[in-house]
Amino acid sequence: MQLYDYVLSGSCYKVRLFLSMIGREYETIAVDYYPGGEHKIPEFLEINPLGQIPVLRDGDLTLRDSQAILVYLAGKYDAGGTWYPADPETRGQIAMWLSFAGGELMNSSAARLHDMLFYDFDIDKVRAGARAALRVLDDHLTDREIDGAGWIVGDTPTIADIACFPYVALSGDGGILLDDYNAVRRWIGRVKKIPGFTVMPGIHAN
Amino acid sequence: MTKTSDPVALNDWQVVGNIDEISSGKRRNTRLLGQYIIVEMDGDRPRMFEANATGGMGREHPAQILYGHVWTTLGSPAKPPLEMPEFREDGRRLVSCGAVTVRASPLRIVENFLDMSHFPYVHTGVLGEEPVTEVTDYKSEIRQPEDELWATDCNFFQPQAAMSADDGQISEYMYRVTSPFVTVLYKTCPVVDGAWDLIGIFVQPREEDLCDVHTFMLVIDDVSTYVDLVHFQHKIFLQDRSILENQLPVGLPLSPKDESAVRADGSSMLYRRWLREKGLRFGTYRGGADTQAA
Amino acid sequence: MTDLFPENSWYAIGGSKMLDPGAVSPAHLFGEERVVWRGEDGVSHVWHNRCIHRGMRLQYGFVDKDRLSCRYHGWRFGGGGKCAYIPAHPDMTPPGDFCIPAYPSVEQDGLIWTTIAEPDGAPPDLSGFGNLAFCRSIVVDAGPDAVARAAADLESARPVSAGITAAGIFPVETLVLALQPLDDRKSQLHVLIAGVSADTPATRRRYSAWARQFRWRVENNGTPQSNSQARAAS
Repeated sequence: MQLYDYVLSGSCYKVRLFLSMIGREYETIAVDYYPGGEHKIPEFLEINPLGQIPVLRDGDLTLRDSQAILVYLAGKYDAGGTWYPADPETRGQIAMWLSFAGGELMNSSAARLHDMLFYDFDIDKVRAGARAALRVLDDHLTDREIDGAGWIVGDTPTIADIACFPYVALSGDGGILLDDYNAVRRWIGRVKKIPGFTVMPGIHAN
Repeated sequence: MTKTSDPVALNDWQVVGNIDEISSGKRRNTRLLGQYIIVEMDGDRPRMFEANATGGMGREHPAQILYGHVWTTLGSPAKPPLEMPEFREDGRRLVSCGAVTVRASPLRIVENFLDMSHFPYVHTGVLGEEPVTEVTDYKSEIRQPEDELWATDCNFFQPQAAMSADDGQISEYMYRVTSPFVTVLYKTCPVVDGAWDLIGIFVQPREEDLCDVHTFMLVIDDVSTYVDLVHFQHKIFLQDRSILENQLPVGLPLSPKDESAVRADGSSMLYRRWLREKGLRFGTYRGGADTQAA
Repeated sequence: MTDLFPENSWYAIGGSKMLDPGAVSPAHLFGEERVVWRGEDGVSHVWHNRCIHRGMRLQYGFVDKDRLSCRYHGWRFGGGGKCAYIPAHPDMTPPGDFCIPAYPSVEQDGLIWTTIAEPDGAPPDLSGFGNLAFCRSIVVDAGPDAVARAAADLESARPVSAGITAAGIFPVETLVLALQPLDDRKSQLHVLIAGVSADTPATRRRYSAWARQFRWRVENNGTPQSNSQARAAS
């Protein structure tokens, strides 16, 4: 298995984190994302025409999109079936939050790229978008705690938690503090205790 | 803010870009010490202009290329940018890692670079790890006539000291500060006995609390790929960034009684004293609302 | 601070059960930054959110048994904010004046309370409410005066003490709101419920939904709707 990767990419980190938690080995192919912009050159566009990382290669299979990669890895390698349970109700809910992770929550990624690496975004708009998304997640996790549960979906961690984790935990990099989101901070603490948890720059171990 | 009036900051050379980025025809619109500037290459000659009120080219200032970066000044520096003879040595690779923006004072950024005590906590498993946290005595001095701060005889045990390191080792360090915003460290090269690898940061202060940090490495390593070296450096620096953006007060306090220090903070205390003696104000804490008294 | 929020009052900053042993959390009060943390020994502390060494925000630290460690250099601080250990010099006893300012704090009625200035007495006594359960906390993007006014306008609202309002929104339970003024433009409400079935998930979910509606009304400048509209919406 090979992962086209950049150490500072939150989306790549979703895959690195999940592979660590399910104990699978892989080879890293480092992409010169910054300052090189290697993900936009023709040779890389052959691998992913969207010009984005991560990309996973497993045998003959090539997958782009961190959410899609999580779905595949959980289905293929999670013998216990807890990371992406098979029942339709759970899958529907997980899909909802995978969309959120690749959608509304990407405002946090945009703010971070703007603040760190000179990306041209309307910073006020993306920060407002990130805060709105964090509030939705915080309200959801608050009610899950009321129900005695600590994860986004179900009673044990799923790929919904992994997909949402990086850009929530990294939101400070984009000038968005997590101070207002109590339930989110408690959830972050739980994710950090999952066996196999590993950090990336901007995220502390405990 | 508008352009600073601090003569210590103005009469100095700062980096405002790297040559890969500002190739012929490409401009960098940026800011230095509060002043909006335009940086471009005219053939192989770098030029810097203040941006005027309509965003066009205003007054021109001196610019030069050194160590793969464009250096400029808004004033009249008394000395040239730092000398790094290692740059001309065979067998060394210059790796420009690109700039990263940090919301912090340039002085906090440089002071963090000089510090070893944070290795086990901020760069865990790479540059340091509990329980081996002791910082043994080292030497700090201001060297004249160069007017440079040097810290020597610095030692620290490191699980993964560099991209090229296979094992843990005791790294020896020297730290050098050649101006308030420019610092280089020399560390034991894992590949060649007795040689030093150089890593440095050229801090471009856009405003008092906003900087672009241009990082470079000058290493003896013909095994690691360029991308692996850059990623290693990005990883280390981005770990520091999340600390730097959370220090209060934002400006660096220069008075010894402002923050508590121990022997391991020798280079930091000397850096603060050196800045105080220069009369630097830009990026310093000067009282007010960005800290809370007990 | 205003007349509604005197300096020497106690203010709730969170639910006790929401701060596990080993947890560290920021807490804002009148624009000041605090850190609240709980040791493995179960004791909670409210301190200044800044390490005395190089000014790092302590909210990003971690708990090491009954001490808080700063994230930057690992300095350990224990009871009363006193520095207990400096990793760069493991054999040294830290100077006695190396201390994080600590604030008065008390846990009572399921809440953690602290003060801005020297407190006047003990936190408000909520024991009279009987079977009081913590529901949730909620941040409202509106200043404390606006939130306090909206709370006072609730059906059968009555003031309990500075920042505390009780109201009867739904027939069976009594709602108790503890207001934490974060700064001029933001407030946090700690929502408690008193009553026989106060501590069931169903009851707490109902009031959690009510809290979201209340937040929406205050933030959208509406005067609170009548309670029948509020009940219909939740």
